[in-house]
Amino acid sequence: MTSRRAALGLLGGLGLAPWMGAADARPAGAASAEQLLAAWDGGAGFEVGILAAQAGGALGAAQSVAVPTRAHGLLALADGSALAVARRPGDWLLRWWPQGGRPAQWQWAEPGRAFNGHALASPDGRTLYTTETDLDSGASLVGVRDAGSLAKRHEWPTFGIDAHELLWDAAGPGGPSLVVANGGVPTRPETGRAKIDLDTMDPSLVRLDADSGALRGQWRLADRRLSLRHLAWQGAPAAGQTPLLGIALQAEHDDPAQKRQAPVLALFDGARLWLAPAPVSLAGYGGAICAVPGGWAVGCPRAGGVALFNVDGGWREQVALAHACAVAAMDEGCWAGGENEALRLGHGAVATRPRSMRPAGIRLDNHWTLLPGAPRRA
Amino acid sequence: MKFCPSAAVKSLRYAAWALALGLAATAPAQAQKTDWGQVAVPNYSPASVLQGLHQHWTLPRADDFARQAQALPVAVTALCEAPAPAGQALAAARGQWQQTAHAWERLSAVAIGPLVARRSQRQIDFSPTRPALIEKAIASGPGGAAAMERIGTPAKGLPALEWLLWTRPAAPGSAACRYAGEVALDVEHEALALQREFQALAGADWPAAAPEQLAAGVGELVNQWVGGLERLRWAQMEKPLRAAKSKGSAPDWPRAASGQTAASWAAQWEALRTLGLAPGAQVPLPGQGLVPLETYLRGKGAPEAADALTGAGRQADLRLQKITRNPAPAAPAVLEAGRALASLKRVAEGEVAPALDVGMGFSDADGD
Repeated sequence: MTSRRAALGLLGGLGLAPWMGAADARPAGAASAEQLLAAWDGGAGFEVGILAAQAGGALGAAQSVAVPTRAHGLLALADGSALAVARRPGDWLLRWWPQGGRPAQWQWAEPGRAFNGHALASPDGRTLYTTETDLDSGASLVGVRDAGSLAKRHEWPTFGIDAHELLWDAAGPGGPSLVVANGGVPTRPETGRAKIDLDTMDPSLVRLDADSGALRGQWRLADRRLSLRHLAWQGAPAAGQTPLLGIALQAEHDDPAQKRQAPVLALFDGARLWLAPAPVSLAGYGGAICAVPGGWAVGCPRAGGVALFNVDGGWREQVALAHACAVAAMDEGCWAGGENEALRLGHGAVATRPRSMRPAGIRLDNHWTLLPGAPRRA
Repeated sequence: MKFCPSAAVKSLRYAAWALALGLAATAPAQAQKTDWGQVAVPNYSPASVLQGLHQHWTLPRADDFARQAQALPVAVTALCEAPAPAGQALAAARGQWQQTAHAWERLSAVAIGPLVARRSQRQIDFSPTRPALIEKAIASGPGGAAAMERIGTPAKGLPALEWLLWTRPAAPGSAACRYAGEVALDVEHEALALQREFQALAGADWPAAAPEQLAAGVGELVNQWVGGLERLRWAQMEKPLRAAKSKGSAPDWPRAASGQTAASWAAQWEALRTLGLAPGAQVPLPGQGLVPLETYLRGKGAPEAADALTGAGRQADLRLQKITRNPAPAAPAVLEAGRALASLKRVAEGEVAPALDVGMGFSDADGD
């Protein structure tokens, strides 16, 4: 694992543009352009809101909304609103307008359904897609919702269980589609999240027609104990292009040693799904993923750092950050959030000294995302 | 056997604080006077904790639920066969439903073992009930257990029976009343199955169980205790309030039709409190009684975690007693109770579980 100090020296060796100096010296006022939509446990309870650079460089809660249970996925929507999804098995969606002017909007899961923690907006902004579970059968589905009212229009099966993150793919064959990660881990809602019968795990990646929900393809790894959960495109998928999809993994092996050494990254090129192993132990858990220039960043909280890979899955290094999980793409790299501290990662290495987070004791959830207006990748 | 004196100073501090609040009347308030430094608490093994749990907690409550559930079809049949007006028979059936529901709530507040494996909560306590599906089921006229298996859970169980006894009282001799009888038999069937399975757990040779089985059992107890807190706080208290606010309607409280909302919360809290907090200085010998989490912690030499649990538990107890004494609790008091339960949950996740070396499935640590 690379320490922050040592990582600074790697920049020159990698021959990449060192932008960290400017960022590090940036006064808080200038840095305030960067705002992160995040979910956290602030000690008094669960909140969602905006973290922004403050005087002295710390990231502080510029705005927050209390939520009743832990939040997970977050979306910045085109109309300026923000959406938070309850962690699985969840029963609420919250949409609010950080700029104010409109009351927050709550949507409750329909009876017999639970939210699985992630949502996606269609490019035209009219439709929201949510991953959900049928509590009777355990089957996963995509809830197709009106983006204005959040009411459900349709349900599409995901041909698996434990569906988690989903992304839009404009580039796939046959027109726009949804790519959905079926985590494949059996659970019982009565126990909240307790896993059962791991021998029956069946994780898969599916492509669903964006208009009809029809299944266009399904892919599986050979190792069924690797749950496919979080997704990121390497560049924006556009018609005629086939960008790579990065998938963060959660290992569920019975053998602790096998679990510790399990890979945390898989890649998908539209036809093949393969593993990107690392030469170090990442404790078998990638909690979030984003694309960075020339590669991938995977938050590995159990390994205490952010794992960096090349675009083709080749190993770069691990950057130390206690409880690192949330990663948010920017133009030059990404923001990584850990326990009480955050880092800006540049082209393959740490760019700045860690930023503390306020209030002290804040515990970020798995994800955060840069708000529009700040430099970011597509 | 190892005995562990507890942190007397902290216990005395809590005792003084609690007495100042005038909490001495409640059962856990007895614990406030306990000088744990003077009490020898056994270092309970996981086997003795699970043995005590199943012999002295789950089985007696499963027996009680089975007893009440067996009386339920009898009461509903009496209603269906009563001459009009059936006011007395209806009152008797309603009373038996209440007894059965509260026995069920005491058993299921912490859903462990067969309650989870059988998905009993979903089978007989699905909420919200679906009137349209109940009407459809009545029209289909199911007779017998096999026919009832084809009826979806939203149209049967205790909430459906509540609807048939209060919201749309089934008239004697009607198809609705016959369906109510089938629903009552279905509840009885589940209660007897649970009783059998809890009998097996109570009779198990826990000291001979494999270490991983024991660890899993203790882990399930702690996790599901926290799950029970969260279900009471969120699903039953705060969510109805929040949903009502966003919809501009009255809160859709559980057991509202029967007027048993407060009694239901009280039954669940009683179970959670008994499993969590020590009832004063009474300390069971290993395997001879229920070992609450607080007592387990003190025996393991974790007085700080035990004190934190007691402190947060008493706060929750104070607020739950306040709202459960009131048949129509006001929203601020419900939210206050919800906040106290949330604080208790945080203590359980942050201090109790680590002290017992239990991983929390509800916590941050299990990935997503």
